[in-house]
Amino acid sequence: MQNLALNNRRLLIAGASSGIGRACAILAAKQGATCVLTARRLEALEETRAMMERPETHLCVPADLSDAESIHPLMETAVQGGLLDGIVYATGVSPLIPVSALTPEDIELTFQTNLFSFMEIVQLYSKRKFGKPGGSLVAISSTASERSWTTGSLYCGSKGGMDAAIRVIALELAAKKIRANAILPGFTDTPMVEKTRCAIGEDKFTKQLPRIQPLGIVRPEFIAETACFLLSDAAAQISGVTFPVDGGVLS
Amino acid sequence: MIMTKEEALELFAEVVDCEVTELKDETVLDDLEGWDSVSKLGFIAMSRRAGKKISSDQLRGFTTVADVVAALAD
Repeated sequence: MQNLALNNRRLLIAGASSGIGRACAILAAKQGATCVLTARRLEALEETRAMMERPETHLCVPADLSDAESIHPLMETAVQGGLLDGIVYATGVSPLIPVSALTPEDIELTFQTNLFSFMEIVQLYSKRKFGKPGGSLVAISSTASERSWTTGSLYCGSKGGMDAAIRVIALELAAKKIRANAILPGFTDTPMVEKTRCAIGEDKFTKQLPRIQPLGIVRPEFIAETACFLLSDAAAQISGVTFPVDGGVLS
Repeated sequence: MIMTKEEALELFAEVVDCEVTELKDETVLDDLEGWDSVSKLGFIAMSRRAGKKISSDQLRGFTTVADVVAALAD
């Protein structure tokens, strides 16, 4: 399908240092896109870049998205090589903390990284100084937005917020033909889920997973496939959608 | 809060997502691509933040950029 090509697209990939963000960057480059990669750790971003096709065409811009002040400079740098045709927001933290043990700092960090910084990036992307008409925004949400996980109140809450916001963003940006969608990954084989596996216990996790996620653990490459589809012209009529790629967990 | 004509134009350019240089006194608001129901709400929000309370009724009365500047600038 020619419509899946991402040639001459300039994309910002937030969270490109590992996991889903890295997989999205690699596949997007394969499809012809030029990427601006951002995350906290420059070395990890450079590792991602080395795994991508045409590494010299992509840009690494380290930024801490838990810090609201970092967003404007990040976006200014990102558009130096040209306006953005799309964004993949794959940055996130998933602390597992019972509500009874929450601190204001925990709440602030999770919502800032997972939701507030996302909204600030969208605010800038909506301006013609940063975002080209006809673009595509892909937010990496989670099945956690639709299911409850004990000790996941912050994660679930922030992802629920992301899903609801995406629907409004889709409505408002439609005038510029900018589409906005969210992908809801199930348990995916990434460093973030690795932490959860350690917390629960590897044996317990491996035993329980098939019961709740019949197709087994999701490979990040399949999240990237869906993200690249949503970024492409093949998805030109898709906006405001929350798209599970979840190994069957929501069923 | 004191607002100059320049500041009023900058605020309005931000709301309709265009360059300040595109806004002349006689520019008709309905001719601006970025002036729609959504940006009208954005205008009220941004004006309030700048210390200017503009009502929807007032807004309905605006025809040109000059009207906007007159309502915002001191």
